Amino acid sequence: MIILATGLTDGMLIFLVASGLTLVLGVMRVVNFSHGGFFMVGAYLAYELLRGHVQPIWLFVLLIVVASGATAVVGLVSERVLFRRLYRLPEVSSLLGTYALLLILEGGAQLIWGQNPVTQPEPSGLVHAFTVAGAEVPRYDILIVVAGVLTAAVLQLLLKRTEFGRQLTAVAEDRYMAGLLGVNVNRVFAATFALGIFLAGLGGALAGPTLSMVPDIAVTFILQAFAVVIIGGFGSIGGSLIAALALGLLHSFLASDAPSLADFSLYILMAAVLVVRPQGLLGSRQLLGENL
Amino acid sequence: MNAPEPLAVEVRNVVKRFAGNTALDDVELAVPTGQVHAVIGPNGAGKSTLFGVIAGEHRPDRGSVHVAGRDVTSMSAHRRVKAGVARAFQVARVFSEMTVEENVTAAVVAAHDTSRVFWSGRGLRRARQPVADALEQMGLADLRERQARALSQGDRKRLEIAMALVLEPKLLLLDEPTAGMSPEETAATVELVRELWTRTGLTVLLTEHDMQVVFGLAQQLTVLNRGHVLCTGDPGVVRERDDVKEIYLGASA
Amino acid sequence: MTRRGLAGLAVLAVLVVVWPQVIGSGQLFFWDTAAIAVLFATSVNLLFGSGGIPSFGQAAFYGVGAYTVAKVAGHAWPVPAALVLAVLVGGVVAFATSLITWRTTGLAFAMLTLAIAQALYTLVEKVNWLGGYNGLPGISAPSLWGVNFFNQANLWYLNAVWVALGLLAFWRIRRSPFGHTLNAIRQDPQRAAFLGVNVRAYRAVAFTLAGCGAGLAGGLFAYTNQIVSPASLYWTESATPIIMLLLGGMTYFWGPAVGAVLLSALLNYLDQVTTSYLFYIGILLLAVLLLLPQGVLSIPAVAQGLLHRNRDGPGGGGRRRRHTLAMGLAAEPGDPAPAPLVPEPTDRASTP
Repeated sequence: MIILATGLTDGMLIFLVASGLTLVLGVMRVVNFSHGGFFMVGAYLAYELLRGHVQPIWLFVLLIVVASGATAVVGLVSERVLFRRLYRLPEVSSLLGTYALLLILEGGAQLIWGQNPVTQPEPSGLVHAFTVAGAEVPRYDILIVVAGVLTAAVLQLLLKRTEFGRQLTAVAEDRYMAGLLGVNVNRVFAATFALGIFLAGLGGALAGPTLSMVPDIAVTFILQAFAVVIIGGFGSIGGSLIAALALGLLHSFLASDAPSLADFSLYILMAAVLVVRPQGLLGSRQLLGENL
Repeated sequence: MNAPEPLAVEVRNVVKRFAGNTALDDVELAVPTGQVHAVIGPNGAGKSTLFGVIAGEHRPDRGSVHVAGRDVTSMSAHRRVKAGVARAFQVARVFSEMTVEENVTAAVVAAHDTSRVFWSGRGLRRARQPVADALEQMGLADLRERQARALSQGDRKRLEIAMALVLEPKLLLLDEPTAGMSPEETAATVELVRELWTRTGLTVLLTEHDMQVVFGLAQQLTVLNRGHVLCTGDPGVVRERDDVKEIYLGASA
Repeated sequence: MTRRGLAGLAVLAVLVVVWPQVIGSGQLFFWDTAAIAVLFATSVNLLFGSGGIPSFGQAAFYGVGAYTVAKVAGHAWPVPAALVLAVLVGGVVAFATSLITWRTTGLAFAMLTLAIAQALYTLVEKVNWLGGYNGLPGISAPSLWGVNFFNQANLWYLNAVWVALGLLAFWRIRRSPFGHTLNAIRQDPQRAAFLGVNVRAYRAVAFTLAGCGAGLAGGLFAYTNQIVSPASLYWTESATPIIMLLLGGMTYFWGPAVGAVLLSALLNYLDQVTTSYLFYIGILLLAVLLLLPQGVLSIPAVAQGLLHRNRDGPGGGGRRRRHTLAMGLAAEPGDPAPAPLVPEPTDRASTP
């Protein structure tokens, strides 16, 4: 039971990070390594706002959303300053550009917050554990799972039911045609990026209390998110959700039964998907840049 | 092969579908060695698909392709080159960051099979003379230091033909060899192909929109329409057929 | 080779010989690692600069080479045998990887190499035989023909000789028909296939050769660093040689080498003055990508291009424009930056 809970929680956290990553990849065709950097920025900004103290739940949630918003603003600025220039470069160069931004974000965090780990306690009321079916489930996990489910639902509504969602889909399918049809592609890019980075920040802010924060989480988390995006399919939110939960559960089962296989299996699975079905479970083939 | 004069290329009952659309439907084509043969037809008739099937770009869903008596249907593009098929693209494709000379060198080392040698530079030195000959032959000698990207479309097409010729093919595929050329360049290209043919007796299969080019070069014509072969025959006979006039000549006149 | 090239090499050789006297043995460790980085980056450039093969997992082969030497050094294998074995093991693992990636190109290929390298990393980290998380300490090169490699200067000469051999091999490869063909494949793989080139096989061979070079560099690193740990295989280590070759200029043979020395020196310096070198490396990488996509070796050509343009005045393009293009410049301000991964100049552009 506890394994199930841990797996679900981990999966939801990875989903939050991966959903933003896959959104940006699907719409903007940029492999964004810096996504992990924004995850870390979200975690640190939340830490700054919460001041490392125990807070009531409502304040905790509010400040976490504020921190995610602030992360999105940083993301928006970097979109304006940097990503606009990267779209023109070939995929691999733009990928290195986002890697550069990852280094800058991680390095910046080292300069501001130092290398020593900091911790953010859970909000009051969620500190303890429930007892479910004889097992102790940390209450904070419930918050993460709820946030993940809410995010998936809101994203689905946003993409399927709103004007913005239709424009976003149009740009993702063919930005040139969408531009001809009167969609402001630059605005959609900016909004998509902001949304993606908001999700990264939210993931980071929520993850804060579950990990000891060091700037290095920027590089460790991004690979798991990549694995999820690849397995779920480039650009597919639903695929990311399924893949994230599956990987979270797999990871937590393996971690308890065969700890040495847990990380290994993640990459083997990622490689296997790339070999057998490079577009991922639910992805589309056109994103692969076959002629790169 | 006992046959006195094997066919340079033979396409048998080829069917090719793309996402449900039938691009080639039971297409037959036979070109004897040493012939200049043109495939014509309106846009979307399947000419480019047919070329793709012969060159190895597409695998046919049914039927077979034979080059010089050899079944090449299951061969990938690079193995078909070794079997004797060389091609030039409709929009000339050359290595744009290389000079003209380096482009032809790439073709020569591939033809010599020295291209796989990474431990010695001898293959490149051995390629010098054949490269110089090919450039001379195609009238590109003056441009040999020029970056391929800076060439005119006509020169680029000549470069591509030079690269195809050093492969010493049994069959040369020319996809719209004069598309995008000025009238002078077109005339020069027709002259070039004709001269090439008289000198080497090479089998040439070409598609072309320009009817003057077609009638100036081709000894036999095949007319394609909507993936079907309408007819094959002498240019003089084909041009007089009513059905051809209707679907093709009529449409463009 | 030109006479100027030979003279340059002679000067370089003399510098290598006198270097331990010039800088003193305290700094030699840094120069050892810089020389190894030169070899590693040059090997990676066979993929990026020549073949247009975007591998993000080269640290795996570097690490495999390092662990190979670390293991056999424990059995007192002679240095040349150990290093040749590192080359072979690096090559074999790379070849196996290239079979897995056989049908994959582009972004999927980049991600696949990353995944395979990370899988190896997590494996090495868990295997007790390889020292697990802590790695293998206490590696030393046994004396060879009476030469003792505990002496820092001798270790430097050891590194210099093997790095030189490695560079010679990659020089040979670049100037071979295979290197020429690899260039063609980078520019238009399909066109190359219609010349009769088996593109996938050529990519696999290039990948294997680059793996051999990475294995050798890793082997030298094991002797020099005296300890190898899984960190050598971590994915960020694969990015370092890529930054180096971008910095120097991937269209030039010496580009990655120059980039490796520059970046090593910069890292060494930053390490002393700041707690976060990552920040500055990130800015440097961005600046190179956006402002100098052909690397620092293109600076003379860029300057020359600017000069030409000024002399010609507005509208004086024509023939000259071709020349500046050949030098790998965006001809007009406001043109999209030339794409670093489809580099423009040929080798000869390095000696204008």
